[in-house]
Amino acid sequence: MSKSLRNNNFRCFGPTDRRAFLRIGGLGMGVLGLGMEPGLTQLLQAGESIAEAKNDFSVIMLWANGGPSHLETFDMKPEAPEDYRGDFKPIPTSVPGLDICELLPNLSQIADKFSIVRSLHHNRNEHSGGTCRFLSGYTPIAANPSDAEYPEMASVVSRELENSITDIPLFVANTKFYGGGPAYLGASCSPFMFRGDPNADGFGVGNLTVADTALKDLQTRQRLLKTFDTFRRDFDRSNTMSALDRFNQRAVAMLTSTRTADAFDLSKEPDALRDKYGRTNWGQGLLLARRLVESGVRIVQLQATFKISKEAGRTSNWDDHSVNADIFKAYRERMPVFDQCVPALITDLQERGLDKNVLFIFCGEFGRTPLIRNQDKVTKRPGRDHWAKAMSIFLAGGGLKMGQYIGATNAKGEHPVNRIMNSNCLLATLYHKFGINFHKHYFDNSGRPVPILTDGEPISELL
Amino acid sequence: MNDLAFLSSNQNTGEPAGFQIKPHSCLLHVVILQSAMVSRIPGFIVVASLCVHIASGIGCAEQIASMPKQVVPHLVAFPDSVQLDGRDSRQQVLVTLQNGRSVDVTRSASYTVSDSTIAAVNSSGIVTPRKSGDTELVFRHGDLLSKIRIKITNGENNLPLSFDQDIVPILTRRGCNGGGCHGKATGRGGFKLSLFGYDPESDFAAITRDSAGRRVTAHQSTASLLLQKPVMDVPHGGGKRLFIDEPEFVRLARWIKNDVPRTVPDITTVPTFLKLTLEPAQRSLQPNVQQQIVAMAHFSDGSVRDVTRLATFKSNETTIVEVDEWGLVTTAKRIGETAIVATYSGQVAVSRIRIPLDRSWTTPDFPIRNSIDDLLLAQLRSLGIPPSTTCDAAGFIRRATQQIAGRLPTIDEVETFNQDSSATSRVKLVRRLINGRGYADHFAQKWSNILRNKRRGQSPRIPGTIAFHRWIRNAIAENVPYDRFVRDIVTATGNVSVNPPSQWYAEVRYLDRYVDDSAQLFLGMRIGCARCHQHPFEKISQEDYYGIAAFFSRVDRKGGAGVAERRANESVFVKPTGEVKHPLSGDIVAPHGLGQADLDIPSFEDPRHKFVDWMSAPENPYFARAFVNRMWGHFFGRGLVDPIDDLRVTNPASNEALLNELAQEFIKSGFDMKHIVELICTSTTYQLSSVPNEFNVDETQNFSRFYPQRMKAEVLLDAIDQATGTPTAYSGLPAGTRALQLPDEGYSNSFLTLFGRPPRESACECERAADPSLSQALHFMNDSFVLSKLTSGTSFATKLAADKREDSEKVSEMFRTVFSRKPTEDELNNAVEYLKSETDQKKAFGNLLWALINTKEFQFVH
Repeated sequence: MSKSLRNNNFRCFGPTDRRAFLRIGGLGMGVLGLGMEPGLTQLLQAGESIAEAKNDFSVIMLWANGGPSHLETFDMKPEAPEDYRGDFKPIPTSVPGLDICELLPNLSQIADKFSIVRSLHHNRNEHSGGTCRFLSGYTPIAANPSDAEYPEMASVVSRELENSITDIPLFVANTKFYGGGPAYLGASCSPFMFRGDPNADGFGVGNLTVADTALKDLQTRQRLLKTFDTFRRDFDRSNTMSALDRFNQRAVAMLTSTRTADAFDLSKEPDALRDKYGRTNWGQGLLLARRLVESGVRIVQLQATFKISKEAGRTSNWDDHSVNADIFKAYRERMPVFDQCVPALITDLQERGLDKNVLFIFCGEFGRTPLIRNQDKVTKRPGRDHWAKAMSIFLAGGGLKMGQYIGATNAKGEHPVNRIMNSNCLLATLYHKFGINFHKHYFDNSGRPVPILTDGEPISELL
Repeated sequence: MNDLAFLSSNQNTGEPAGFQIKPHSCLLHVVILQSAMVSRIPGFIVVASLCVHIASGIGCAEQIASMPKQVVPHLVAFPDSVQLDGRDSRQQVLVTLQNGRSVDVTRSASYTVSDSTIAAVNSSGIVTPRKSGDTELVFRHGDLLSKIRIKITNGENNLPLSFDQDIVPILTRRGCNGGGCHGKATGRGGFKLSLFGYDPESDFAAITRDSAGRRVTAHQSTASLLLQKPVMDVPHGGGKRLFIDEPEFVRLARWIKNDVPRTVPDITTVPTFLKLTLEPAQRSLQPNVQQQIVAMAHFSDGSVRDVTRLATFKSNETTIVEVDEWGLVTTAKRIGETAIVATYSGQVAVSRIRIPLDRSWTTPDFPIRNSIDDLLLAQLRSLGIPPSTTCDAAGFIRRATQQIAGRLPTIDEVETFNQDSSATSRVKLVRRLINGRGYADHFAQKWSNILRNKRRGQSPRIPGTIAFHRWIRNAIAENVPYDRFVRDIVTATGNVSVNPPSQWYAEVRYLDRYVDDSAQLFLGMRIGCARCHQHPFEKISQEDYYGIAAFFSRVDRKGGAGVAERRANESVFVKPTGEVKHPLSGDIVAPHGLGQADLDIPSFEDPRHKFVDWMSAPENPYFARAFVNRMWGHFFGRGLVDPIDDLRVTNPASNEALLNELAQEFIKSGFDMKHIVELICTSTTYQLSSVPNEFNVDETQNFSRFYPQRMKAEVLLDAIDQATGTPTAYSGLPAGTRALQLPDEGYSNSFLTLFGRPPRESACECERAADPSLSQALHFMNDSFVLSKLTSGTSFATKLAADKREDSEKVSEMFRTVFSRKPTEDELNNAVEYLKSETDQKKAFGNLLWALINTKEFQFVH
């Protein structure tokens, strides 16, 4: 009839057909049902093959929930008026032209090993909505949604890489983010959550290990299950039964292998290294994260909880409004901890050659108001409010180009003026590194095809 | 009328008796008689009769199978004459060999035009004009020959082009304005088109005026970016979309050369596009064959145009048939039925393709208990799929109790039922269950989920969610007519403490949610797409969407406390004024149902009542169908239309006749919900075993057997509680409250979360995550919540360990509790042997019970 365009290698990924969707979606996705994909579906399929997920990239994310201030960290504005620039002065780093906050002297020595992106922005100024916006790429409709309305990046990665799970979970976190979550990808794309403080004595993994005595019971039960679970799997054409069997096997592998338990066992690390990271929640958390990615975990999300002193304020997060904290006192307390553990991690990753494929990210849902405010009626202490128009992202490793500062905000740090980027560009960079085609779509609960990202391109300077 | 019939075939070769298909065409065997097509050919006598009532009585299939083959083989063409208007018009001719089956021979036939100065034809059967005049198309296949008339008008002239009708469809068909490309909200590469061309005006501006007009260059049309990009003369992120020798390229070039007209100058002569049809509209095919589909656009002046090259095609079930971008269908090995969907210029059409199992079969033991069975058997006969046998008594009481009452039957219930050998035992059981508490709990929960009875972490909301849940449960238990149930919710006003259904408005808060939720819940339609653009697979436009929105335009609320979604205790009321505007035109849209006339509703009336009036009118094509399909999906794990809330022309039911019959029955009964449940559960269809026979193991959409379904999170947890004798406690609720009775989503329980309890964020039942996961497996193996159910002092296992009876008796009791059946001899021996091998009997019984509740037999409804 006519020439077929099928074998062309399209880079503009369109929607996929149902079969491709099933392949993307993995197990038991029948519930999501028929696609509503526009035409040319087959024609676009060729492009899908580019998206074979890579197997060698991991992310450690230290999440400053509440919103870290770009003006107290990586985007100093010493020339700005006093009520903008704040208490701290910039210091030069080993990278000419890149100045960071004076509270980060150790980091300043190794600036060739990290990069700062100063020009991301988005449009949601409230914590959970901002988290959903920043981590999913979509602005939620509901105000203050406790769960994301669109899947967060790590959930997408979980879905896309789920077939690579062996005996260790793919996505591990210490906290479910307020405003994060798998949304319509379902509970199977939630993180495996560990409990407890990695810095506490006797820290270990709860559900992922069994005591030696319980191991025998586990094996006995599995033997019994094999004896009695004789219902014919082929009666179930949805393949849910065989999927259950597969997960059952993986769970047994996970529980009986020592790999996961070992990964969580910080006592296996030399004391000197543990001290280098710092005997803090963040320090030991990052060390744990390194052990986890070494063992095959692909995303570790650590919420950077930090209880500031009474004198500094009343919070355990980074939400330094005047009513919550004296922002300068709070940063004086937090930053030394940060300046110990993050350089330790960066160096450790480098020494182990992990910096090629393990990316460390420090960020939060947005930046903070450049104009300092003192709303707290009693203390009149300085604080900053929510500010999604500007934020700084700290990146190290991951095979990306380091020693850079990308983009710039205006003189008061209010909004980007150079290399202005939607915050989705960060997500696009991560998906790109994971080998995930972020133009492909999932179906939401109303059956509409929703692309992983509608906009945003990988940040070319980093690649 | 059912115009699909079975005709006999040679059992060995699968080919029709009495006719030898030539080797070069033997890939193509088709079984169908299409009366309309046959009757177009005068002079041929068609002897085969059509089998209309296959269902009634002893199989029509057998009758036909014994019929001698009396069809004289002949060729039939579609269309019956070719009429082309304009230089660049074209017609794909479809040639079908009628030999008892309908075999598409379009690609193997040979073609000639009698007067080749008037028209040309290529080897694929595409006729194009050369000059005006009349001639004939002659086509041959083997020894057979036939011809049709060709009439060409304006064969020398190109007809004037209009952007909307002639250009936009090309952009759509080539994917330019798709959601992944320039149709994306932000466009691509600085070039933005409206999604699927819903806004031709802005597209016209984008092409002709944006970027300083460099996309089109009239004096050198082929140097226009609009052409250079898709042919990749200049780099194009979207790749190659067009070849320069394609007619669409030529047409785009001509349009540019003609100085990019938006409309044809003399507007009155332009006929408007009315509808799209596909040929064949339905056909029965054999496995592994091909069938060309032709898409025809019908215009207001009565003219018809071949738009096959401009329509987009997709298959609703690619494991049964695939269709390529030019409308060529290829069937797979599987038997079944599905639809090919074509879209063109905002209109949709389907071609239903059926691949029957080509073998004769005898009438199975399938007692017709009600109209469901009649219509289901008819469907299975036409597909040639024999149904499974019916399940045994123990299997039936377990299935019915799980699915109606949401729990396991007790040992006593099973034994009493097993002893009831009366013919009506199953009917009595179903009636008892429907009138029991479990039914009310189960369906109240189902509706609480999709009506989004949600606490959202706000304790001030709890009295409201409890009140709404109780209201729903009472309505289900009292069997309030469904139309009244819906009306009370949609038209709710006041505070939840006075009028519980007003709680629906606590979560469903914005104009678009009113529309999306009520359409998805009560009409089974997902029309959210039409908020921003023409629905890609349905004739639903923004006008339709905002017509429904207008019914809700006067809804407002006052009082209450909290922020947005988290507000509690508001009072809903209806303002005297309020309107909605079309987002593109800015015109006020009057309230109207889909495809209905605008309504003028006085300010003292609540427009929402008019909305419910329209929905619940007997002639409404969605309301009753959506409900019965939802119920069907509940019991069979898959809707007749699947997904259950995606009723649209382009997603036909696997058994339309059955869906219509159930809907009519529902309407006639006065929207009696229990009546539909009873009808379904007392049918033979519902009683079919999940054990497949030789022929239906791969069958997944025609209900020839019961498809095993995983128990829902709440039912599974209740079943585990019941089997282990350890009820789960929920904070703030009395002991003994079951998971199925929880009023809202806020009763935290990690088991329920992991196993997919819906968070009630949407009106879709699909929100329930049915996927198995690693975390679930770990939870069963290693979580103290599950493990303590086996080892606690009050556990069934602990009690059995302390029990003085023989092991074999105790094992038997365990099996009857967990599986509603006795153990087989092997199972009994294995279990007893295991128990004897362990010294710690408490642990041994616990391990055994763990194994049983982890079996598929326990965790699935089957």
